[in-house]
Amino acid sequence: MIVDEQKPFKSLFSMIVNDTISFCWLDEQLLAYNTSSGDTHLLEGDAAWLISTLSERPLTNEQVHQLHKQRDSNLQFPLSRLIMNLESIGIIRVRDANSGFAAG
Amino acid sequence: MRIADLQQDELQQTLCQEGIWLSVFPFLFHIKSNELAVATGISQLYADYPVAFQGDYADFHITIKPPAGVRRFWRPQIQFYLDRHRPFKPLPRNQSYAFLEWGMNWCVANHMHRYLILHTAVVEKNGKALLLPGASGAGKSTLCAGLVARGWRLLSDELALIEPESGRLIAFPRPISLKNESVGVLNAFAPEFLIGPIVNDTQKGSVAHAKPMAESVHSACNNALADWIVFPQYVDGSDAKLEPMAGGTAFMQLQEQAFNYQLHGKRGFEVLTGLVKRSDCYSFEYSSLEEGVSLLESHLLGEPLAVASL
Amino acid sequence: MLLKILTDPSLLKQLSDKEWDYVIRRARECELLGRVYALVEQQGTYQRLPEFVRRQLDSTMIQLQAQKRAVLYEVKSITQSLNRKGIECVFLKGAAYLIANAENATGRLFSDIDILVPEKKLNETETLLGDDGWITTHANKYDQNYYRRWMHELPPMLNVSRRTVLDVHHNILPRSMHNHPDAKLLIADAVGHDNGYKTLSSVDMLIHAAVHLFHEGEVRQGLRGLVDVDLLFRELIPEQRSENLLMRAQQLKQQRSLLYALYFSARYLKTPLPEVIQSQIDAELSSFSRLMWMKVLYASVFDDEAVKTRRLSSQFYEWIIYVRSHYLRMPPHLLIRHLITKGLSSPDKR
Repeated sequence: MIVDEQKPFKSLFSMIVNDTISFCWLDEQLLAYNTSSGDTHLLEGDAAWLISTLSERPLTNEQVHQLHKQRDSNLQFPLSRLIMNLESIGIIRVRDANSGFAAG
Repeated sequence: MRIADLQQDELQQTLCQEGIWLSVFPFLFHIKSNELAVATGISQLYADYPVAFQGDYADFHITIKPPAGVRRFWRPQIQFYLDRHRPFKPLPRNQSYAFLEWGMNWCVANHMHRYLILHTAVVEKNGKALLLPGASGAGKSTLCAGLVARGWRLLSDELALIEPESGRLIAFPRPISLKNESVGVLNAFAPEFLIGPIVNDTQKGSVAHAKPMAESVHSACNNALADWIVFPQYVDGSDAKLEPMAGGTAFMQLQEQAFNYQLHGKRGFEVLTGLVKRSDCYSFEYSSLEEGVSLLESHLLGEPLAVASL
Repeated sequence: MLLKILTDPSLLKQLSDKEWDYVIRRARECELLGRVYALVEQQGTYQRLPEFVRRQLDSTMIQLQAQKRAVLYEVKSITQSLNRKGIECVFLKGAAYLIANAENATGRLFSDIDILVPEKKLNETETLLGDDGWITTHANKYDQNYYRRWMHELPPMLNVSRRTVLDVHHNILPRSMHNHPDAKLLIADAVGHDNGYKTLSSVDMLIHAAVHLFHEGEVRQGLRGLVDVDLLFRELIPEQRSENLLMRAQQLKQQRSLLYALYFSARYLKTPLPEVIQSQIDAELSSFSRLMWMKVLYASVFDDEAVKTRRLSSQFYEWIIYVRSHYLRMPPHLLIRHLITKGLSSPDKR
C-alpha cells in the first residue's frame, strides 16, 4: 500500500499503461486501485482529474508507446509541463488553461 | 447453558480436563487451561455467553498452559497454543487471562479471511452503526465503552468483521479491553460496568477487561450497516472536537487499520470504498470521556447536549 | 485421516463434523488446507459442507487467490529487475509450480519466492534487486557469513514496500555438501513457458522437490513436500517416469533422495511407481537398517495417525530430523560450531 505523494504520476501512468486499475471518487478525491500489485493511491485536485480522464479512454498502441517514452524522460516535471507533453503526443487536448482540460 | 449457570469450581475443573466449548458469536472456541486466572476471567466476563462441555468441532482449539521445565516455577511463564502451534513467545504467568483475549483476537484476525477485518471498535444505536478505528492508545476502546454505557450496543471493541458480499458488519462482542488510566476513567464514568482484575506491567501497560452488557451478547446475531466512521484521538487537555473528513483520506486511514485488505484484492477495494461512501466520516479529538460521548451523541443522533458537559 | 483423503478424495463426501474438525486442524498444521480446498472443489461438495468448514475453506480460498496475484506480480517485477543486465533467472518451488501451471500449484500455499541464478551472476543479481527495494535480512554477521560461505542461497531478501521474501539460490543444495549437483546442468535444462518465465524441467522439478523433502530441517510441512513429489511424479509423461528420471537423478547426484521420496510417496500417497523404479528402490535402499531408520524417523512427519499415538516421541524425531538436515549440509566440525552458535535451539524456537 503506497501513497506516493511526491511523484504520483510516475507510478500511476505506469499503472494505466500496464495494468488494470479500479477507480473510485470520494469527496473530490480519487482512489486508484491497481489490481495486479494491490496498491491503492490517493489523488486530489488536477492530478485526480487528469488521471481519471486518461483512464476513461482507451489508448492506441502507438500512444502507449509514446507514453512510455514520455514517462521515462518527463514525469518528474510539474503538472503543466506534463500536460504539454501529453498534448504534444495527442493524448489530451488543452481546451482552456484556466478551466481545465478535455480528452482530445 | 450459559457460563453464569456454572459454579466456578465446575468451570475450572472442566477447563483443566476436556475444556469448554465457548460460543462467542459467530465463532466457537474450544478452550483448555489449568490457570485459575483464566477460569476466573471467563466466569466473570463471559457470564452471558453460551457454553458446552462437549463438542464435535470448534473454529479454534486453544490451550493456555505453563511451559515445561524450570519456567514453571522460576519467574513463571504462560504459553498460548492454537492446536500444537505456539504463535507467540511466552508471557509472565500473571497475564494468562489477557493472553487468552489477545490470542482469540489473533486467531480470528489471522484465519477468518472470509471477512474483511478492520482494527476497529463498532457500536450501534437505532439500527445505525458507528465505526471507531484507531491504533492502540488512540482511545477507541475507552470511547467505545463510554458509548456502550450510554446504551449503544457493542458489536466489537477490537475487530470489525465485514461480510464482503453484503458489506454488513458482523457482531463479535467480547470483553472490552482497557489500558492504563482508562480503567479509572470508565469506573468514574459508569460505575455499573463490571471490570475484571487489573494486570500490571504487560507490553501494553496495565490492562483490564470490562464485561459486555448481556443485551449485546444476546443480540449478537443482528448485523448492521455502517453510518458513521469516527477516527478518535485522545489529546491530553483538549476540548472535544469533531471535524468532517474527506472520504479519500478516511479510506487511506481505514486501510491502514485493516488486517487483510490486501488479501481481498479488488473486492476489498470495492467493499471498503462502499463502506466509506455510505458513511459520514469525521476526525475526533477528546480528553474528557463525558464531554466526548456527549458531543458524539448530540452530533450523530441529533440529541441536545447534556447541560453538564457544556 | 488426512492421508486417506489425499489418496481417496471421494471420502470428503461423507466426513462427520468430528472428522472434519480433525482434518482441518491437521491440514492447517502442515499447510495443506489449500489442497483440501482444491479437492473439495474437484469433488463438487462445497455446498454441502458444514458452516464451520466453509468458514475455514473460504478463508483459504481468499488466501490462495491473493497469493496467486502477489506471486505473479513479484515474478514479473523480479524478471524486469534482472532483465536490466540481461540476467535470466529460473523460478523454483511454489512460484515455479504456478508458472508451469502444474497440478500441485492448485491449492498450494507458500510464503517465499525462490529463484536460481548462475553463481557468477550472484553479486550482480543482489545489486539489481537491491536497487528495486529488496534488502538483505539477517543483520547478524555470523548468519551473513554462514549463508554466503556455506549455503546454496543468499540470506533471504525482503522487499521493503511489499514485505515479500525472496530466496536467491545459486544451487539447490549447500556448497558444504559433498554431493551438491552441478547447477549448470539444472540451468541448461530449464524450460521457458508461454508466459515468458523459466522453471526447471519437469523432471528436475520433481528431483528438487525430493531433495528438498529430505534436507529440510522444518518437518511441519513434510507432508506437503510429499504431496509435491506425488503430484509432480503423476504429471510426468510415461517415458519420463522411468530410466529417464533415474539417469537424471544420478547425473545430479541425487538418486538416493529421489528414491526415498518416491518410496515414501508410494507408501503414503499410493504413487503408482513403474517396475523399473520399484526395483531400483529395492536394490538401492536394500540396506535394511538404513530404510528402517528413515521409516521410523519420518513416520510421524507423514502419517497423521502416528502423530496421534506418539506425541512425545514425534517431537524428539522432529528434533533429530532438524539435526540430521544440518548434518547432511555440512561436515561435523562445522555442524558443531553452527549448532553451538545457534544455541542448540529446537526447530520451533528459531
